[in-house]
Amino acid sequence: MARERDEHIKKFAAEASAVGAILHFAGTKGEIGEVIIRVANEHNCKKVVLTCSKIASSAELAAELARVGMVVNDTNLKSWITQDKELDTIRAELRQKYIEADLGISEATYAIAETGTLIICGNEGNERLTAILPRLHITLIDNENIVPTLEDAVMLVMDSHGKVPHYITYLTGRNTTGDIPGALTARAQGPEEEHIIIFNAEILYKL
Amino acid sequence: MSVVMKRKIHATLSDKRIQEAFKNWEPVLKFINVAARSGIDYEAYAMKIHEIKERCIDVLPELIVQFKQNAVAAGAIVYEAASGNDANEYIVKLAAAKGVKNVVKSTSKLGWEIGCVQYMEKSGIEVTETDVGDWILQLAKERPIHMTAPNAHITIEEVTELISRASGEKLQPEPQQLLDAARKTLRKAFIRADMGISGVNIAVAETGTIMIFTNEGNECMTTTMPRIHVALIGIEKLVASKQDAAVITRLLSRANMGMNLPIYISNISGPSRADIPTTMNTIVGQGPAELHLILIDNGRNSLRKSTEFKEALYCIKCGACINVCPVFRSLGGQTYGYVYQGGIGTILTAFLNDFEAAVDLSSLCAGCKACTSICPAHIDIPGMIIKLRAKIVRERGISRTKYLFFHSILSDKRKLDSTIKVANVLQYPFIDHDNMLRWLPPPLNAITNTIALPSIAKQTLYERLKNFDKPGTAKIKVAFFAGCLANYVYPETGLNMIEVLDKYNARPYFPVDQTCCGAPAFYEGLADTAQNLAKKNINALLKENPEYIVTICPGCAVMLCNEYPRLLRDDPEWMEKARKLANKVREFSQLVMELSPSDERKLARNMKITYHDPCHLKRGLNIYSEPRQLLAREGYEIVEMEDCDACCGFGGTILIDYPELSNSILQRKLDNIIASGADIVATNCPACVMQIRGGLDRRKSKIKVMHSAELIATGKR
Repeated sequence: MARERDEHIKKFAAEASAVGAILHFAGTKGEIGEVIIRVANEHNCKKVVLTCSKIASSAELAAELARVGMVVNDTNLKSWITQDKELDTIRAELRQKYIEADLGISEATYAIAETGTLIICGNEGNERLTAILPRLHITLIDNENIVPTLEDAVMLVMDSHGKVPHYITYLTGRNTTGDIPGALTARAQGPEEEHIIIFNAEILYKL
Repeated sequence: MSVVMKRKIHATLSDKRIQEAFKNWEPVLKFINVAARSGIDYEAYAMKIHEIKERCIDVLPELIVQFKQNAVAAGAIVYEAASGNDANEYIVKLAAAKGVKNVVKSTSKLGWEIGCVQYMEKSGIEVTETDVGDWILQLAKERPIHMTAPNAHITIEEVTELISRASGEKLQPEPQQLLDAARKTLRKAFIRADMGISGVNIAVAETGTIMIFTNEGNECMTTTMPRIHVALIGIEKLVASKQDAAVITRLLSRANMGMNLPIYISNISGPSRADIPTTMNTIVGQGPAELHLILIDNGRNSLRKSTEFKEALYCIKCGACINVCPVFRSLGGQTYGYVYQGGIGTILTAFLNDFEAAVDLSSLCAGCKACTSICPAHIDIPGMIIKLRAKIVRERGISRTKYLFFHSILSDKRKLDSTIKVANVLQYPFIDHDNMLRWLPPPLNAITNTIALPSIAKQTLYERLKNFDKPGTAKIKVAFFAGCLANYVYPETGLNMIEVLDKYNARPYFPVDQTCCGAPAFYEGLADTAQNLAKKNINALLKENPEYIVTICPGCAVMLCNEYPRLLRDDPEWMEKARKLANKVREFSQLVMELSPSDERKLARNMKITYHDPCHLKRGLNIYSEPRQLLAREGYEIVEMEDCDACCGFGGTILIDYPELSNSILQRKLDNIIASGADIVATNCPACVMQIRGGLDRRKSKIKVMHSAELIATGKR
């Protein structure tokens, strides 16, 4: 099982790189913050929107980034609801945060090894705004959730017993376009770079 | 065929901008065709998609009910629009009711089909196309030239000017700079917009999900930033299950762009809702509060009910077929007039947009089947074009000239023979010393401007072989079906083939009652005439109960093997005979390899050959290795040309109907032949020989063109 998983991780990393994503490995959860800070510094990113629902340390992560001077906004509506503010006002304020942010951090629910694809799920749409509006995008993926094929992922993510998430975004590589002559490798309308942090990849480090 | 179409073709072929753009586009097309198939059993998936679409289209009304239920349960609002106008009206009313001022739109071919942007603009709503290609078109006020590369004809200089004007910046013709400016300008439109309109690639009935495939990221913003999202869904996009959707996902971007998957696939099931468990899914999240799904029929149900054309609904709108279409590669999409282009576009235009326009468009198919071979839903597009022509003939008849030719001359061997005799006399003043016709009086000069024509033979094959109409002493009983070109123009090729087969104890006899295979009538839509000819030939060829029936013309072979059984399927007795016939038919190289499968090679001949795959042989009968094996073992070195299996431009009636178009297709073939460095072009089709030989002659090239039979017979002497 462990060997098989290693193969999936290796395949995912190779395919994601082949389509233009930039791969990082974090051996510990602490290293996740380090990688993010390094990449953010390289790109001069100060304002961050964060959509990580599953990583236990998401609050910790936010604190870590804040410590080095970044302005971090968690994007779940829940965390913004206060008694003295209308929901519409909160949404408008939040929307402004995405527009101003230079870094978006997401968490993928699954990843597909054979295509190097990240699968980002949500119901609010905050995860879509985080992934598309800021000029830099970093996605975290737990290596346990890398599945071999497209079909595997579709069956998991659209499991008919549970409820299908309102938004499932399959992200493969970095946005581009063929609509301008010679532009096939140029950045189109989304982030300028797609970074992926695979964490808990201890075995890879040993190789 | 019409004069209007001829003029359009002339205009496009003389438009330097369009032709230049196509030249730049060629390497991209080639990349897509190779990348689409790499690392996957493309054909197997295409068959699967065909099955899925067939099954889903059959139960479409049930899928619509199921989709509606599940989408509504997820919080979407579903509207079923009978027509394009119905859908447009819905959107405009919705916009008015919700106080919508600014709309952003991502790519939707259906949007073009129903003219939704124009409709909204007329109603005073500002719409910004947000796909960079669509946006450039909008700025240039032009229509898409390609289903999936809408602005391929607009040069980078023009793009620079358009985006400079729109962004207010002075830009250089540098792709990333242009895109940066486009992004900034469009971003403002996204922030401002209160409605987003998107297309849909796949809709999943069991979950009420829409799936949208894009690469730029504009779609994610279109469907998430405005407070209302309207999705345009052609009802044929519905599939039953997520498994079905996954199979289509496998090939859609491969066929479209040569990519494994697109950059973004958005699966949307219901509008945005806050992740607050206790609220029962009622608090709007950060995306659209409302999701309107418009299921658009606009002629699809009537298409579904027609057994002849329902396959057109299997189309997943990837654009792969037009990339390989020889006619499209010369003309681009604007000649087709509507958003759906090429062969499949002709069928879709006929039933979804404008039947009248499709009458003319149906004459643009060369019947080369390149489209079918790349189609990820394995749709028999040329087959449908023939059915469309037949429908047109049924409903409106044909011109007197064509009627005379097909009904009266082609179907009566004696009349055909005497017509040819007359032509034989008439051609006399125009024959050059080497038996070629390089100039004919108008209007035939349009043809001789394209290719130098061979003269009609002094003695037909029939006349030469009429005393060999019974099986001789050969060990293997083989009947020879000549076909018109071999009979009237290239009798020596027929004799060459007999000479070669004689070496394998299979000297063929020549059943004298054989006549035209019926292909010209069949492709013109005259099924009755073709049926009559089929019966005559079946009787003539089966008479002596031969073991094999051999032919040197792939066009005839496709008729005998594939079309006769279909033409006669309603009559069990004839159907049985047609099947029997089909089982005996062999193309020349196929028969030789079957009789003598040895791999033993003759001494190398120090002569380079490039082999041109005739469309009907490769894609009609799946024969492409036999001719090569045969030539190789005769000692010829084969150097493959680029696009060896692309149509030569003879293309059914293309040479006769549109010589200028035929010429444009031919020139690409000739360029590839010359670039291969070969001394000889070998091919196994007399029509291709005629076209390529005539074209090389006009270029004054020294390269010889020979039917394999000719090459092998002369080599064996």
